[in-house]
Amino acid sequence: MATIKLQGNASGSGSVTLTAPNTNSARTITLPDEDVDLGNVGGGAAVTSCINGTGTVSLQTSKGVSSVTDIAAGKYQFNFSSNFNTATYYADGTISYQDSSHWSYLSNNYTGGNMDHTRTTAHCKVGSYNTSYVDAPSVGLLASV
Amino acid sequence: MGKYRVIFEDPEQPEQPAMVLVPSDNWLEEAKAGLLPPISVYWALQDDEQQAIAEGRHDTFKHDPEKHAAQWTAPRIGPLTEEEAIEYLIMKDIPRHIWSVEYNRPMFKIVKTADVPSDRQFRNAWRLAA
Repeated sequence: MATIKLQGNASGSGSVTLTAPNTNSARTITLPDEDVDLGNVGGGAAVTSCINGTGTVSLQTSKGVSSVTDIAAGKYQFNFSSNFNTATYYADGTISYQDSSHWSYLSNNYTGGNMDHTRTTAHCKVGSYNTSYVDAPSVGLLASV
Repeated sequence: MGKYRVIFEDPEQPEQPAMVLVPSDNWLEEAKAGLLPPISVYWALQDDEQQAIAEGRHDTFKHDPEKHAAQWTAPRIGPLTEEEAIEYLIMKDIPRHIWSVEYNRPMFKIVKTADVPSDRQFRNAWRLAA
């Protein structure tokens, strides 16, 4: 029979708590037969963030982001919690908006206008451009090395 | 949602409207838990990158591995209050010439979130009140 071993950390002094959900059902967690780092499940992006760029701008999700700068109408800058080691990291920003019937999205790598794509290892700009810069209710950024 | 926002202007871009820094709630929790490195770690990275940009070698630029790793390996500075965390964030995420140089008027202000206008009709005309 395979066994489960819980192991503490000799260097740390904090305590880690596993909590049960509010349920009346019996649940089973089946672990995969491979090494998994829960700090990087699925090798996910280092930065996954989304803001509502309308009204008082607010972050809806902010993994890997310390703040966002509301630069102007339709212009935003995601500031990373930790710098990437090079500015050639992968980044993809999209703008989601609602047309007459449903939600749509648009990759914002728009080169026909004057989008500001400048970025550093510490931040990345995202713009929402449709004839002119316009605020969007959902502005997302994925970035990873 | 955090209690504060930072409104700032860039004196090097006088045509640019006032900008608003919106802190991440997750990051604020990390700051309050004492998980941040000294701010000098980020400044060292900024300095190296700015020098690479000035010298026209940003396309091949890579951070020094030791300085880059310091973001995780440097001793933590301990728990911050939300107000201290905002001050830290200003020094990390707002360009240094905005907050480190004295101008003839303030270039940034920490304000309550509720004080930031939600009406963005004239967003590109926002200015920092004296």
